[in-house]
Amino acid sequence: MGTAGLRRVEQIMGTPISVQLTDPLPARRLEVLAEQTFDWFREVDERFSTYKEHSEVNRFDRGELSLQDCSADLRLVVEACADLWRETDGYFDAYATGRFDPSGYVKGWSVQVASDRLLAAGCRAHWINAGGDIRARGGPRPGEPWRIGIRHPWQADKICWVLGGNDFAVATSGTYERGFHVIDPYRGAPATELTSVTVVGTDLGRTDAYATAGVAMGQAGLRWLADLPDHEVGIVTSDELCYRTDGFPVLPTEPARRPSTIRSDLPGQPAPRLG
Amino acid sequence: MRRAAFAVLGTAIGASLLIGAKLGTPTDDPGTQVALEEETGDATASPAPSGKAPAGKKTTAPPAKKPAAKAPAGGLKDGTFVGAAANYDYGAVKVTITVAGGKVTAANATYPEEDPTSATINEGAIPKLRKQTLAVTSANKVNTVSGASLTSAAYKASLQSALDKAKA
Repeated sequence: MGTAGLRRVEQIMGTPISVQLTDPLPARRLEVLAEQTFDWFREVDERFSTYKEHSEVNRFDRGELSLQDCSADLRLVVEACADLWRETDGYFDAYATGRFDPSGYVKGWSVQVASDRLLAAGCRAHWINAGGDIRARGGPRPGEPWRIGIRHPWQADKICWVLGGNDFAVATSGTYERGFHVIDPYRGAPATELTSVTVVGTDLGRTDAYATAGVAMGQAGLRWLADLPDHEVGIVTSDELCYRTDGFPVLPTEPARRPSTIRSDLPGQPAPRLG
Repeated sequence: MRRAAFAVLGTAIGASLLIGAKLGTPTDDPGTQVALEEETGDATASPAPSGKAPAGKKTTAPPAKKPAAKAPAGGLKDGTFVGAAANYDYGAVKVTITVAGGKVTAANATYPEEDPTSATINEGAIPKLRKQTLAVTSANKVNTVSGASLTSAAYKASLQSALDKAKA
């Protein structure tokens, strides 16, 4: 339908991971690349899950592994979490639950690594979406951008922006999917003012952490997010206002038809060509 | 001459809208949305968003250069011009400009006095951020969806799940 290539979904790390590969490679080759991608996520789950007793993260947290004895991957994650804690004034905190839990970084980072590996393997056109956080490269067809919808916070079957790009990381954090679960570490209370924060950059681990930190900051997050160097942001506040930076890569959209259902909206239509 | 005046008026309406009008109402009207998008990029005649301006009522542009007594350089007719009320979801907005010496010396916009939500916008005003209406768009042309973290259970009922099924 529409776009050739391979598309697959698996549930790993407690989250749905969707992958699309569109390079003009032999089908078997795409299969292998997809399989390697999902193998990587299963490996990350084994090593970084806080739910698995013997994961490397848990052994490090219990003091059974010193930082020097950790894998290069875990050392990188520990350092990245420390950097992000400083950069976000403590709003991104891998120790927020009283133990070392880098899950908020690992998901985005592991997708970024998977995308980098696909690129290195000659797969230039793909996207990987892990529970709403996306790294995309190339496009559905040569010269066309990927079109990434940003979910509408109050209408689950609608989107409020469409972003276009051929090499970008898009992460969204919000209060609407799992309730007010992002805690402002300074007030010790859930952050409620920013309902949806989308950050666009090139490194999904960072964009994801920035989006989460922005939600935790509440109203003050508006200014902090706007001032992020080398990143673009789109924000929906709890009073239904929208804010975005000039460089937020929005594509023109058509308003939703009424009445509409998911099913009738979906039949594949050719993506419009962009100038 | 009239066209120039209207161009200025239109810009002023758009710019003023940004400052005090409530943009939060979801709208299905593409015209409104497109218009707002276009106006935001044009800052030439926009009144400076002043933080101390009373929210939701009136915003006044800083006076432009002293009106020249000579022939109007900008080609505008001197006087005060009142624009037709522009109706948006959140109420009518009316713009008045004053032209002296061929230049716009003042631009005022009135908003619905009783709009209680306008105040929040000025409080949140940040120069680097552009305010917009919250659009409601169907997802029929997107490849994938970014949103707050989905649990595996929530995924089954999600838009992304529907897209995955449709395109797999």
